[in-house]
Amino acid sequence: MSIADDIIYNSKTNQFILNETKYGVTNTLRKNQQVIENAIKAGKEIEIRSVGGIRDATNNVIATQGQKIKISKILRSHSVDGKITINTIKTTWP
Amino acid sequence: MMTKRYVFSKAAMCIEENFKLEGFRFIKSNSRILKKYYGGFNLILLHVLDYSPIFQIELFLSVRIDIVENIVNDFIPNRNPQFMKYTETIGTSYKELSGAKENLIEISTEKELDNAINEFIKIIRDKGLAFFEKYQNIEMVNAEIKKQILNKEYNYIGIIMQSLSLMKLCNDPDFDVLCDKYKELYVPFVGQEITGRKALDNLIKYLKAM
Repeated sequence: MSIADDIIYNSKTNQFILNETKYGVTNTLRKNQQVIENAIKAGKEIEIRSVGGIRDATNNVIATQGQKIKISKILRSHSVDGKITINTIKTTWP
Repeated sequence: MMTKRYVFSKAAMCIEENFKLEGFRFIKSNSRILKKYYGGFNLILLHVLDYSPIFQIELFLSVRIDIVENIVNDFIPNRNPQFMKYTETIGTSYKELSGAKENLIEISTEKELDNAINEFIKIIRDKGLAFFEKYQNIEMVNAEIKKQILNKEYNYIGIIMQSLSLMKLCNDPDFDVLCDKYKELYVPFVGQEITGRKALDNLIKYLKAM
């Protein structure tokens, strides 16, 4: 199974969204992913640890590595054939 | 089969090799290609997104001006001090420099990876080095960031604070006028409406007293 986790910033709503996209035969979260998901659902802030933080395509840094943010929404998609389309993406929280 | 780590390491090491003479070094421990100097650094940053067997490689270039970042990092809310030494002041990207539709090159084979690396090296050589040179000058950074905010391209807390600090450090006469304007333009992230505005007020108070 391969996993591509991503945080998206919606500049219209000013919300951060966690996009958990999974390819493979299972969409079970790993232990650390479950911990993060539980913390988000409990309303806790998440510290960004990705190298370089979250930036847009023109390299404006939206939030830096080490900055805490609140995630407002969790999206999840799952594919066994390697294809993810907009129709397979589902909001799992809230 | 290629892995994310392999793609990243090969790209980073090839880029370092090509820009060693200019002073860039691949710092494995923090996954950045850096040229450090007194007062800041130039950064070449690669992001590899893993959609095995497809990988997307993004390229970002940035300049850090320590004197600006040291002020902003003292005021910005919820930032871990461990990573403050890596915050950046101004940046550009493969998309901006090359005119490509997206800020990434997609690869799935060794040959495509080699082509992507060569394309990145070419764009850094042709345009990236000039970007680094231009923004060694704090006045140029001030003018560019101010323009981006006033054109309403960006309204995040980080860039708003950087611009205010830059104006103050450059003795820019717009500083006093733009303090209030920036407070209007600033849009906090959800969940940081109170802390963000308070932090911005504190920074302005500090800069005015400087």
